[in-house]
Amino acid sequence: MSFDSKPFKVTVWQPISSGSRVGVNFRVPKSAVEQPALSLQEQIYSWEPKGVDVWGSIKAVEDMVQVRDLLLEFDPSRPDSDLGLDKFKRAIDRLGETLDSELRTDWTEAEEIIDLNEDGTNFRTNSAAALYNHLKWIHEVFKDVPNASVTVR
Amino acid sequence: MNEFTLISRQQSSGLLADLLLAWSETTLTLAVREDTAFRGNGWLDIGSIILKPGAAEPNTDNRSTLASAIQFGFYEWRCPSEENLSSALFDLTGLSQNDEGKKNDDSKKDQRSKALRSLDALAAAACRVGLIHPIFDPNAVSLMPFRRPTTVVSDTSAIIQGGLDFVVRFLYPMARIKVPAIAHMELLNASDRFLILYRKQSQSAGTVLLDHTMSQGGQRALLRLELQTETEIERGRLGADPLRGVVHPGSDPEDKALGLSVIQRSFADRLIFETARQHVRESSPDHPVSILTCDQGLARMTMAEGMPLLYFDALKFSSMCGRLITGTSFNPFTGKLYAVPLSSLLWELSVTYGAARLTTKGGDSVEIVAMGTDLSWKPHHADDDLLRVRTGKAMPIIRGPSITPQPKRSGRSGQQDHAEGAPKLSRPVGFYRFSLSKMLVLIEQIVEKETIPEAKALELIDSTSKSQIADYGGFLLAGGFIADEAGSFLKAESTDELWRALRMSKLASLGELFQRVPSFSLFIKTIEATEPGEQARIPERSRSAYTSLAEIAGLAMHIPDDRIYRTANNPLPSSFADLAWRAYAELSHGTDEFVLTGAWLEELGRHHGVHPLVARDRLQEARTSGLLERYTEGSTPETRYSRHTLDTLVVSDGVPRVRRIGLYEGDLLLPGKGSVSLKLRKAGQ
Repeated sequence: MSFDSKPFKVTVWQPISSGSRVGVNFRVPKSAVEQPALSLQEQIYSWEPKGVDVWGSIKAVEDMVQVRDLLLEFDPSRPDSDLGLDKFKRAIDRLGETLDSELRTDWTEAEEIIDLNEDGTNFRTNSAAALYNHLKWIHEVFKDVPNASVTVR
Repeated sequence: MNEFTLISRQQSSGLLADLLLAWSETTLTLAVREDTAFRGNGWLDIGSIILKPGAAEPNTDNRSTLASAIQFGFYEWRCPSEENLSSALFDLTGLSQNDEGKKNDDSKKDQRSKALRSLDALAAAACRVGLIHPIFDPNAVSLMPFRRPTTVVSDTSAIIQGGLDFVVRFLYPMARIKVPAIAHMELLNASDRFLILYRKQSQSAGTVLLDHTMSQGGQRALLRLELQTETEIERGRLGADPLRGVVHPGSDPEDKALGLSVIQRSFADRLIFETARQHVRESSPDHPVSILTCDQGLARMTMAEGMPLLYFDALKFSSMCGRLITGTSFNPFTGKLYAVPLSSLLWELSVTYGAARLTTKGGDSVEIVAMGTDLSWKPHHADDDLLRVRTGKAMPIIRGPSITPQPKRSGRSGQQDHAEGAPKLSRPVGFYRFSLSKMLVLIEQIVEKETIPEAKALELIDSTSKSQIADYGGFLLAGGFIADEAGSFLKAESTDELWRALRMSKLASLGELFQRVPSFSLFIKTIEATEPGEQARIPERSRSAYTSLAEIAGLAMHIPDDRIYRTANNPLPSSFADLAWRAYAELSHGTDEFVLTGAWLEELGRHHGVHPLVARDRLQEARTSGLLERYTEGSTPETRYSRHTLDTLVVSDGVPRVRRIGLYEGDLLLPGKGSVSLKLRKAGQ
């Protein structure tokens, strides 16, 4: 059994405001370099799945590649206009399509071991469904934040 | 359906696993029912549950794998479409457009609206158990997880809609929880309203449904928080909830005129806010206190009063419709997986609506019922999270996590199925853990009394654990040594046969009888396997008991730091003489030196498959026949061999008991004489 060693991290940003807290992470978007008048971005949410290959449950390679490529388009080096939550939703919806049929995803073992009496067994999950549900939650929470952006790496 | 049985949520995983095994299905229909609101015996189908147990681990059986899937959330919940669900609900409640009576009048519209709102309770229940999360305000999420202790004061809506459970699950202990008394009172009022309608069997189906789902779901959330979690809830001194006295009925005519004894919605909101403000005054100046709510009015008032807010949107069922919800999800902050046991979902839905049910395609079902006209309630039900469960099939004799109901069989055909073929521990066979000595006592009493109540059986094995007695019952039932009767150990035809074999130490009969238990039969086949590591597949929980059984029946012997050896060889005296000599020669390196008796017995078991008891008897016969002569020598046994023992059966005053013999102590060949060393000589030498 192997687990994806590539990190997968989703971060939600919003333009920094006068009320921003000290100590939060900042990002200088490409647009800010070109147009310094634009504001810096502050991190408002960050999330990284642990011990799970998030793509491991998608059976068809083409599904996995499509979904991963769509999500990895949210590269931090891209301009803010390419990192909006509307576009993020399209990527999430594509992931959701893989869940329409039971035949397109499967349950896989996670790294975490459940300590069950003397025996241990691996946690299991449909990582595609769990990822979809969580990304959908992220979208629902932050979709109305003005000029919010998402990065995935 | 069978009779109801009270079962705790924690205990239910084993029962559900047993049922799933018996049904041989992992895709089930999930449904809920509200007695008063639903017509006839109708149930509302709210989707399908698909168990995803995966392949059984090498050292576990299918039952354990299924129980793990139930306990650790390895399942999917496919939710139905909104249209189908609302249509089915209207049909069940007599509120469909085509239904006779009250057609299109305002009352019907109101009831339809309430019935639809009651569907949102499905989303609230899913949220409370952690299958989905509340949609918080982004500003609130950006403050999570809390970096320093923060008091969260919950309002009633947050309790019902799952916000409080989210805080407890993901933000505790940094979040300190405070539930104002007024929230309890609001839920109590809602519950009273519902019970009045319930008792008079109100025809206002929508109102009944809505009041039921809100009041019972909310009360369960608070009870679960108090009784089932480690969460500490802050409770102020008496009177610490400001203005609480105002809602008590008083004699002041002005109060009466104001109607303050009736809790007004806005007034209750103000009391919750005042509770939070009181807490601010009592805390250190820099300690943050937030109000948790999904009530927009309270949220606006809180902001206007300058207090931090954790606001979330109450979830609608439409947000779940058509979705695939999984029992394992990601923690929204740490990214780790966490599990929602299937039983948590079933228990929550059952309390929220009154009853929940899982059904197979073939019509087998299990109902979990929280409320019914003839069902009583006691505080210990809440303490232990007990609900009433009944099935469409016979329940196992004793309810516990270890019973495996075997398929009904005629004659011995079912057992032969298990006994044939290659050993496969992944088959649906229960492995049991017990003390062999206590098992013998139990069998003796069953033979003598013919029936033993479960309480007495617990006494005999000196235990109070139902799961332990379930193991004893499961083994005896699986072998056909007791009859299938709920709540007691009832003597069966084979009980006497087993007892006779035990009393007479008939090894061959014992071996045959024990192997009627499918898991023991698999155990024997597994130890016969020659592949290294095959024995690692034997479940640890049964290894000790099954090894003892095999040893007393002459089927196997365990050699410490080596393995368990199958001892199926029962040679004729002449053949034995040859095997015995070869084993001796191997150990003595061809000399006529004494060798350790224990080492010789183990050599015979290890390389020639001869059990020590058989070796003892055949050696005696070989001596009598003049084939071999043996000489023994006593000395102090070496302590390093103290673990090399063999369980044997001794009969004293007609009662069989287990006796553990040290193989290197020399007692086996010549009882009472410490023949630690042995020398053999062939006839004519």
